[in-house]
Amino acid sequence: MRVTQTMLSRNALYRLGQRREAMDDIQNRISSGRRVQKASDDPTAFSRAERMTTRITQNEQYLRNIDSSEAWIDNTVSLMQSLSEVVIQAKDMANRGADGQADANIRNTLADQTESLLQEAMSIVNSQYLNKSVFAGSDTQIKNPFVENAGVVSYLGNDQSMSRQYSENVSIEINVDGQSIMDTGVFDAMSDLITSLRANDENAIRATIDDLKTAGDKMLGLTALAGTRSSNLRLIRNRLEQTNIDLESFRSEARDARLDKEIVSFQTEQISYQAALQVTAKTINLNILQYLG
Amino acid sequence: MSISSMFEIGRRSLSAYKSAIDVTSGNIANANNPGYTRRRVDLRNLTQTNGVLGRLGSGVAPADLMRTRQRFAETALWRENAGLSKYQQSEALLQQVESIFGDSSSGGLSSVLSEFWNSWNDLANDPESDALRSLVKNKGQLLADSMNNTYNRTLQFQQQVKPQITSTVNDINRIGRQLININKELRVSDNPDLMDSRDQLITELSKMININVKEKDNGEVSIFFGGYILISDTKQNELSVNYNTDSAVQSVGVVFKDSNYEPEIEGGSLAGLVDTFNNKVPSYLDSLDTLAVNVAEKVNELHAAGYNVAGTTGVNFFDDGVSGASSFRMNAAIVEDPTLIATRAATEGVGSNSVAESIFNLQFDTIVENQAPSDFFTNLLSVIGSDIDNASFLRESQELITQNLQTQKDQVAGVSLDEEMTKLVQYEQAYQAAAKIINTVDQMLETVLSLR
Repeated sequence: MRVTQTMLSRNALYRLGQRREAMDDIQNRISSGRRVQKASDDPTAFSRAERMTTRITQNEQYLRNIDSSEAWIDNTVSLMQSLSEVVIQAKDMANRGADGQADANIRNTLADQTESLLQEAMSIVNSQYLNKSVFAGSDTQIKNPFVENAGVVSYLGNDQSMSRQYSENVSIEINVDGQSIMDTGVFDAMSDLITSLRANDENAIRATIDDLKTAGDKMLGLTALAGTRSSNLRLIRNRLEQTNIDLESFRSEARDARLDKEIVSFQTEQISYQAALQVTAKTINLNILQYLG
Repeated sequence: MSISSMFEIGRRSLSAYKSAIDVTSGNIANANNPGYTRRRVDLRNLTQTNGVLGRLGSGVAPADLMRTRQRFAETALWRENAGLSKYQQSEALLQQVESIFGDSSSGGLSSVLSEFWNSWNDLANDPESDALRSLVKNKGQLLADSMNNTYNRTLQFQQQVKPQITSTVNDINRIGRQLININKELRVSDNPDLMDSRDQLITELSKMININVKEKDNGEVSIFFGGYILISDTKQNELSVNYNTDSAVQSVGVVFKDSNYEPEIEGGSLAGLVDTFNNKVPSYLDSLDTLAVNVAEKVNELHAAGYNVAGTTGVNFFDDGVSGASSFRMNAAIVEDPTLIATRAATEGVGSNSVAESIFNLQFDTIVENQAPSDFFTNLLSVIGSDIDNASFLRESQELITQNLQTQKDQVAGVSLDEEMTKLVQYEQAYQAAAKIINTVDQMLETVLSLR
């Protein structure tokens, strides 16, 4: 086979160019840490990695939701617990007032104390958290959703729930609306207690004990519900964090470069390139002119 | 045979070997000239009319000066050049488009879209907040900017391809004219250097479009493109370019000037240019438009039915006239007053976030051609990526094929210094030997003349 000058140089340059290109690619992968930097590097791995990135970003958003909701829910739960405390104290007042040995004076004092308990309950249910009324349903801009008029408490908010999303199909309500609190009958019971204490009516006072007990039980139910939400959120948080860790490792598998493999490839390429350079230099130099006289 | 005719033999040898050395030195000088075909001198034996011993030879004379050609490799190379150039051109152009659409790092359209949806969720966590509404407005503007930017830069890129197409067509016409001139000259003379330049021109042309070459015995060529004559004898059909500027996304047609016939461009860099200009770029822009229109439509639908804190409703989030990615922008009213952003539905209190949540959830809905918006965009990027991948792969295989053919051609038509140097030594020795013949005959003559 005839070998000509242009053949030699063209082939040599082509092969050297290929080695160089391979080294360049490896260097790119090592310095960016990624095997797939753009879609043309590996279209299927790229779209897999992109989908995971989207999921990871969504999960991070959900985690942020959990952060902001947890505080609200915990605040609600502790307010409900304080309210339950007030109900227990009111029951105590009722018990003392229902005692046969109590007289009008004692009952009057008890009525005063119950009134201040009522005021305390009012201030609890009118609490604000971050400038929003906690128990107003979704009418959070109403400053005082519960108003008292001559011992009768009425509610100005609504009974709507506010929910937050923590996963693609998982929404959880975060509030306890004021209507449910009204429905426990706690304020009616306390108003009745005050009225019957002032009226020195032992039978009426005894009747309110049952009402307060019912109200207290229902209140406990609401508190427990709110507390469950809090623990649900913790479970969801753990699940999301674990899922993200898994997704990140899948994504890394698809698109990141394996440094150990790349560095070994690089060294191999480097050796081949050096060998190719040396051989090319020797071959190109050899010709018959060096040997003719 | 007389002594003087022996002088003739000597003289003819000297001149024959001198021309042989001429040709060899020409070859050596052009050893690294890629467009040069090796010349070869055929020396033939001259026969003599009757002599003493019957037919004796009367020396040597150069017969033909031949260009050594490998016809098969040449034609195949012209054919394969078209494929190689087409894929090279496509690959280069599409890589530029890919960088416009962004990779998966931050700032690309994918991450801007994610941030937009997430801002709605942040607002859903605190629906009464004005600060978070401003944030949603900001992310909306960022999304609009990103869309507009991507679309416009792609359009600009398409514009940049235009002068490349025009200049390629001009080059084709220019080469055509040069070939016609060479054809005229080859009709009268038989010049191997002309044939070399003719072949170089044809090689250049073969990289621009797909051609068929027919060669006559005297070296004149006819070149066909798409079944029609590009060059034949002295006739040339020039090409011209028509741009259709009816819409922002333009299209181009390459036609024969006289007949206005538009041939199909199957290969060459022109094929890559025209395909990218007419097919690839418009389809990518189309997909971007679809994404923009559907996102704007669905968000507006939900938003206009929603109420903000003050109770205003019926406000669109994105502008009414969004017909594509370049007209994708926010409602100016909201830009001026972000408190107009709706978060709740009709009968709900201000703490409710149902509308904000449902807008956030649009990212999971198959609102763009049965795909979620981010999936649709990722698909678009994958399509661009596979187009590049394909072009790259085909280019590499074409490179191997053309390398192979070049090697085959060079084997026959290339200059090997070793071979030429050896021949040089050989011819020089023959030259010296021929000189010796003259010397010897001279002595013979002297001997004869000195007879008394």
